[in-house]
Order: sequence, then C-alpha cells, then structure tokens
Amino acid sequence: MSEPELRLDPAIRIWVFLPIVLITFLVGIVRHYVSVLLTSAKSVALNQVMDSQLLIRSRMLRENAKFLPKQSFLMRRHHMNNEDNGILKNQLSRTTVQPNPMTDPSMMTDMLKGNLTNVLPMIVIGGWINWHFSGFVTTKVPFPLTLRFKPMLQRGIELMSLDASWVSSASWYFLNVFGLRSIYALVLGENNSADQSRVMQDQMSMQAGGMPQDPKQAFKAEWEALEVTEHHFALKNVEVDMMAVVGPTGDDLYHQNQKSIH
Amino acid sequence: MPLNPRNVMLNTKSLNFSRTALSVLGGGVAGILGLTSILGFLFYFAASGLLGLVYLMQSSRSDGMFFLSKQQLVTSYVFENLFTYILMWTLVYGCVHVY
Amino acid sequence: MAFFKAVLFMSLGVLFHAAYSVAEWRYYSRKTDQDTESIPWDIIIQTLAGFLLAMIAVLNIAGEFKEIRATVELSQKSWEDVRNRPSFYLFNHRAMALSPDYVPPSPSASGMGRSHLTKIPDKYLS
Repeated sequence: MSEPELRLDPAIRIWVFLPIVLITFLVGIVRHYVSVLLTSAKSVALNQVMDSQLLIRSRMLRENAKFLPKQSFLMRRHHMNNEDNGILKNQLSRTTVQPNPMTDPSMMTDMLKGNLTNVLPMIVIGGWINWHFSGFVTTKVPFPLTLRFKPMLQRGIELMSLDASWVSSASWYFLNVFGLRSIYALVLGENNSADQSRVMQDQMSMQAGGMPQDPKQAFKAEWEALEVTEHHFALKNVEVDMMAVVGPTGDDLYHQNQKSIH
Repeated sequence: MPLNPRNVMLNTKSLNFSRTALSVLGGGVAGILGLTSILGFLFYFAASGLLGLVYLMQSSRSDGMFFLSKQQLVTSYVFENLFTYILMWTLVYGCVHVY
Repeated sequence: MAFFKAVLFMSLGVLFHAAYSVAEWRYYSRKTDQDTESIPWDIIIQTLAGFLLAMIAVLNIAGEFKEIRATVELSQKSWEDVRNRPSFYLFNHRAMALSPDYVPPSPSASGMGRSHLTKIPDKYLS
C-alpha cells in the first residue's frame, strides 16, 4: 500500500470534494420530487387497450389449450382464426393510424418533460461545477487509468506528466452521478425519477409503446401461432388416475356389485 | 407454475437492498484499507461472491423456492452496483489517504 | 429489526473511527517520512470486524425471503380462514351501543318522530 505521490490541501476536501457529493445527492432528490409533481397521468387509448387484450387472450388460449376439451379448443380457435369473420383476421385487414411522436402533442410534452427534468439539471450543474471548481486536482481514483482518459478526466489541468488517476472536479461529479443511482433506488424506492438510466430506457421503449406497424405484425404472428398449435388434452385420463389414487379400480367395484346382486 | 408476483418483487427488493448496502460498505472498507486497482476490484467481487455463498448456505434462504433460479441469487445486481462501489471507494480513499 | 438498525449504526461508528485513525496514522507517517509501511494490524482488524458486523446487520434488516410459489402459501391456510375476509368487516352493528360515547338517536332526529320504539302509531289504532 504505497502512499499516493501527491499531497492535496485539506481545504479542497472540505470545500470541493464533499460538497460535490452533497450537491449531486440533494439535486437528485429534488429532481425526483419535482418530476413527481410535474408528471401528468398517462391516458391510454381505447383501441390500443383492445388490441393488447386481444393478443393476450389469444396467447392464453395457446398456452392453456391442454386444459380444454378438443371441441372447446377448436371452437375458440375457429372464433379467432376464421377466414370470414375471425377476430384476429379482422384486425389484420384493418388500417392503422400511426401515432407519430412528432405530431402527437401529448407524447411530445411527455418527452419534453422527461428531458427537462432529467438531462437538463445534469448538464447545467456539470457545467457550473466545471466552471467553478476548475484548475486544480480534486482527487485520486484508486485504480490506474490509461493515458487515453487524460484529456477527458483532467479538464482544467494542463500537466503532461501527471498520472491519469488524478482527476478534476467535473469527472468527480460524473462519477457521483453514476454511483448514486443505486443508492437512489434504496432511498426513494423503485420507479424513482432520479434514476437516469430508467429515463433512457423509457425513451427507447416509447417507440415500441406507440406500436405503429406492430399491431399488424403482432396479429399476424398470433394468427400463425394459433394455427399451428396442436391440441393434446392433458386431462384425458384424469378420472381413471384419480380413482387409482383413491381406491380399487373400476373392475373390482363391478365385481363387488355383481356379488351383491347374486 | 403459478407465481405470487408480490413476493417475487419483495424478494428482489430485499436482494437489491443487501447488494447495494454491500457495495456501499465494501467501498468504504476498501478506501480505509487503501486498496488500489486490482486488489480493490478483487475485494468487491470476493465480497459479492461471499454474500452469494452466505445466501446459499443459510437454510432459511435456500430451503423453499424464492427465486426463479439459484444462480440469480448469486449474480444479480453485481454490475449495477459496481459504480456505487467505485464511488464509495474513491470517496473514502480520497478522504483518508489523499488528504 | 430496531436492534439490527442499532447494530448497523454502531458498526458505521466503528468504521468511521477506523477511517479517522488511518487518516491520523497517514498524517504522522508523512511527518516522519516513513514511506511504504503498511497500515497497523489493529486498524485492519477493526475495519474488517466493523464490515462483518455491518453486513450481518444488513442481512437481518433485509429480512427473510418469501416463498414465490403461489400454492405453498395458500396450502398453509386452514379452511376456517376462507370465510375471513378482512376487507369486508362490518363495524356498524349493535355493539356500538356499548360504547361510552354512544348517543341514542333522538326522537326529533328520526323521520317518524316516534317517542318510543314500542309506541304504536295512531293510524293503526282503530
């Protein structure tokens, strides 16, 4: 455990190092509560709900077909896949209106609000910290870094021979932002808005949630899957199985009855 | 097989809590002990593996079915909390050794 | 649970004390220029003991796991519990008259205006 080669002013520790941690943590919490106040309730369109429920229904039929008698299963499959008026077939021939993110106003405001409350404070505070706490080394990262990271991590420090482990305050701020995400999950519970990775996932999945071309393909896939499901009735011999567990089989009972008659 | 989704969520929350607490405390200890580079990362993975082993050993935590696979007990949330470990490690290392 | 939170708090205190002593040791070893000497053994043992204590406390605070198969929890209930539905408990029944704060409804408040429950209305008396 060799000693770090530089020795830094303790004043930096009190006035830079710890305040950046506090600032990041508290801003995250404030951001969470602000986004709680700002979010509007998401209203789902009726036909989207109908589509998704229909898909769920056909999937349940496929998965639980083995518990239905053959006649029941065929009846249900006919109702869904019928050439003339099967409900899955009807959805296939319908034209869909694509909810374009650019033209749909409610989705636009949601995206704007998401961007505003999450990305903007990070950029603003990162810039402020970079401007305010520039020109000195803040801390040493305990693990060695390659020289490639030097221009990125040592923004205000123009020393050629300084080890890449000695970083500036901006990089300490970004390390804080990434590291405190897990702690926010503990402190604020799940679904907290201070977790930015969740926001990026939401932005990516918002394209899928609109489902522009997907209904047709989803219905087509369900139709095909339902066509090819084979029906193996799992409860075929269930009476005989149960009687085997309970007592004598049917043959013995018959003989007993025969004996009692004679 | 029918699952109780509320209990699944409770189990993952409990696991998440203990793993995050492990990475926070482990980062503190690594900073105090002055571990650097490889030793520090080894310490984190060793501590995570040890926690997984403790989970597997404890009969109250492995007798019934609590997760969809035993492997999930040991390896989930390890890499999510790696950043938290690095943060606490740098923080305590900076406070104690560099200043 | 509260006991283990106290244990966790105590172990954080132990770790903080170990950190402070390492910082002091670092300060003195810099002053006397004793480079590359490892941290004293008692501090290392104190750190590891504090870490172990904290992890034990965390494991107990995190709680036990709950069974995820739906059938196991259901099979532990008895048949008498089937009729017990906590959401459907009634509280507006006769026993409210036993409460010390009970005020019997006054005759003027009720719609009929009857003075006593057993008084027969006039229209039934021929």
